[in-house]
Amino acid sequence: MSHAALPGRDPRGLPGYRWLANGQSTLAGPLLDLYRRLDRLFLSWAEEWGATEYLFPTFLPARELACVDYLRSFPHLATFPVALDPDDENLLAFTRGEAPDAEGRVRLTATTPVVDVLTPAACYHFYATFRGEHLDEPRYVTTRATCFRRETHYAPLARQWSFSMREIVCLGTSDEVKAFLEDGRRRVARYLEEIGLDVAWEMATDPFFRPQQSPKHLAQRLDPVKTEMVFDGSLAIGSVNFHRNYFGEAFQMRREGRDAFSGCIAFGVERWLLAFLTCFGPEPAGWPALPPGQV
Amino acid sequence: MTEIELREALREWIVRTSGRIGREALRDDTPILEQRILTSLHVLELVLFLEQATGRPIDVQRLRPGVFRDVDTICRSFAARPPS
Repeated sequence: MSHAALPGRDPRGLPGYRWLANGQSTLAGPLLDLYRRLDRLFLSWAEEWGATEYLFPTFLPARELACVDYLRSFPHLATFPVALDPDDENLLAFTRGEAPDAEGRVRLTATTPVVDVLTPAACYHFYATFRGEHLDEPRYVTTRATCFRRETHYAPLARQWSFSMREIVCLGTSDEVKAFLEDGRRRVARYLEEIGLDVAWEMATDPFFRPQQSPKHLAQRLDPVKTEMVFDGSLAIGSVNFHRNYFGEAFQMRREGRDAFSGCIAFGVERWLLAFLTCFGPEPAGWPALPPGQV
Repeated sequence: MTEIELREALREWIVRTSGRIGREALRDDTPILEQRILTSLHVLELVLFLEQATGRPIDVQRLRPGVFRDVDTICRSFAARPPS
């Protein structure tokens, strides 16, 4: 592996790349092509399970996340869509203000109630969509979503406020989901080995608010359900997650007379992009073969 | 408390606390967290139960992954060792 290909893992200055200080990236040219080809690779794995692809909207109703206690477990990560109260006087008052001010801040007048959350993880949409369903066979689905996570700091392609997550999800019995996750991990590991991308598989926990006081964090630490694909010692480019029947119970999804189990394989597309650039360099000629990028 | 006594008390505590499994269905190798017979909200209660049952404090920061996997594993990990 040649880390000299992208010193400091910093893509700024590459043709087609633009970093925005609010934790977001713009891609064009060869980098956009690589982004599309990587997602096409993940999609080709999803197709091997016959996964149905979904395209979801950006917002999730907050009440859907309430039943899995998301906002209490991860309040520090949440981002909310907010809009001005449409009252004419309120809008007029807003237009009379300085928006934005010299520091870029928009001072809002009255706002409508916040009832939605910007997608924090792609797979939540599936549980809301399949709420109350009884599955007569395992269900394999996939989606790519723009996800939003507020962080204390951001880094180009590595830690962004908004980023792309491709997920392949299985809903079924415990054995069906475990077999899917093992198969998925084998498949990804084989590919990584073939192309020579050095990734370690490491147990991890979700980034809970105040983890030392969180019973969920303690439970995840004692009974690990998340394994990350860690590139170059510190960049988690994806993860394999066993949710047990947590979502099945919360969203009343049933399989063989019991709460359905679920699991997902998640890929952070920008982080894969960064790992590829770091390992193989910014020149397309140096990149491993990938499926064409018609996504 | 001997391992046999702890095992019996633990089975009874799990069935009573969980409300999701009957005494007959709970085997000593049933994965209690994986099957969510006990949920994350029960884990600290389990620690308190084990502290009371064994009379020894437990440092949760030092607990290893897998230690609460099933009744067998818990009893092997927390029962008092007979004097050798």
